[in-house]
Amino acid sequence: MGPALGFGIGTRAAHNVRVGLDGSYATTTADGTRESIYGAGVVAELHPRPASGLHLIGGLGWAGYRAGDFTYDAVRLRLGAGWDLPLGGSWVVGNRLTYDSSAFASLRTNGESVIPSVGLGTVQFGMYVGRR
Amino acid sequence: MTAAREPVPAVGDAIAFGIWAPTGTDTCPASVHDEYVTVGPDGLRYPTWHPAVDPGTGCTFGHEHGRDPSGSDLFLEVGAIPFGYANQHLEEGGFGAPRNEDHVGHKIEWENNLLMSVGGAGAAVLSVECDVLVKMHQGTHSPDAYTNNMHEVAYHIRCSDGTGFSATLLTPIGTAGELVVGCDRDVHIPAGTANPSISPDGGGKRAIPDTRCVRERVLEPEDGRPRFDSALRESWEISASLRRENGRVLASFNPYFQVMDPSRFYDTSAERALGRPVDLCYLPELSGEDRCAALAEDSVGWDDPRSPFKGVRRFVDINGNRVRNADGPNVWYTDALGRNGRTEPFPGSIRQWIALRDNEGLDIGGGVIGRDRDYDAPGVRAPN
Repeated sequence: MGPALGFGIGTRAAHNVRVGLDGSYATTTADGTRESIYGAGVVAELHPRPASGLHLIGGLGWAGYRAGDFTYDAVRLRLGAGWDLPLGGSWVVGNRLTYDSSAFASLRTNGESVIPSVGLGTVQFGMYVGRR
Repeated sequence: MTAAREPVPAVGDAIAFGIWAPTGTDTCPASVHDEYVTVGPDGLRYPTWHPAVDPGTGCTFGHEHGRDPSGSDLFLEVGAIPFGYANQHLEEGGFGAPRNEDHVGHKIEWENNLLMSVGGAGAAVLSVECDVLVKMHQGTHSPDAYTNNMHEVAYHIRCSDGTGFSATLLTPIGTAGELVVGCDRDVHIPAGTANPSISPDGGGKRAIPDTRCVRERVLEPEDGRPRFDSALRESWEISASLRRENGRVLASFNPYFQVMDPSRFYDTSAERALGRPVDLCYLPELSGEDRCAALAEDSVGWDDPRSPFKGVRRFVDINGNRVRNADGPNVWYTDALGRNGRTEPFPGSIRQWIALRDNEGLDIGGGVIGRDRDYDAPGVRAPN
């Protein structure tokens, strides 16, 4: 468990759908080794009721893990939900809960596969500020 | 292919079978003890795990073998563990002398879904889950381990990364004929001649407390506070392996078997060098202190169930599980020392199982089993 930093940029694709790109980074130190998780990909937000701040999140992208000599790179699936509150003008503040899941990729050290099929799952809960 | 073996009909008794008989305060007859039996792959009857109190009669055996293995996720695959199986086949496999161990020293420990770390990768994100079932012969009541370094271990592990093996062997722990002082690992004490005298030296060490540990941490601690656990802790640090005929390692493992409350410490002034921790409790300065607190005022002997030093508080560090068997096969046959591995059985060989896996570059370990467990039970006493 540790802090994560994320960003995103996108546009409205339909009256209740927004699409964009996102990136994230989280890191922590355990047993003297820094472990970092990276993520990037395409995300979409579906607003079932445009008047409400509730939205569902889905996306596809890349997840990376780095710790010492170990590396892991895999396709990432993101699912989640969030809630926007108007802040003033076109600005909103909100929070979101997302789950990123990756699997079927190798953990490597010095370029060699050491575990052939590794899964990586991360849950992120956070606050954000954005513009509609 | 799994490590499971076909049941075989019993054709006789192993040397280890039937060697226990009640003494002192034990209330079970040998006949009840002998009901806890398993047939080994060789068709011989071996003693196996049993509870400290027989549930059928309520009688007590006076010793315990650790955690009931039937709760392990590996139990269905590997079955009951025959105590003394590697001892039984040592000479038949070409070793020039027997090595048989007592019954009470066989101790089982296991854990399902044990989270293990990968060395060099931190532990917050990356972990491997393992089922581990181990049996170690670790006698901590007699002078046996002062000099004798060959001890039977059965080690079964299956991990989520594909690492796995089942190994049964007599492994030499440290140098034959000497012990390493528990509170100062740089000090090696020649303690006599090993039995058998041709015992090979092994990796690892048998760290056993001596009078210096007792003096520094119990009798004359710097802060005035006696600490029996710190003084008496035994750590048997194993460096075991299964090897092919050409010496190449197929699987290796380095668990540390630790006992917090042995009923002995190395004391050359005592008969057979057996210092008894419970005797310290009757020194005026230690009466009622630390582990002596629960003792009654009347004298309790080293083999009394009321003694707080009877080898029931144990744990195992699971370290260094390496396999190098990507090309297979799963089943190898080695001698009782885990050497001369071949793909076909030979006289005195022991069937070993190794996953088709090469985990070079991975150092899977860091799991601890049993730290919070205590195997004390009615009637349990040293020798245990």
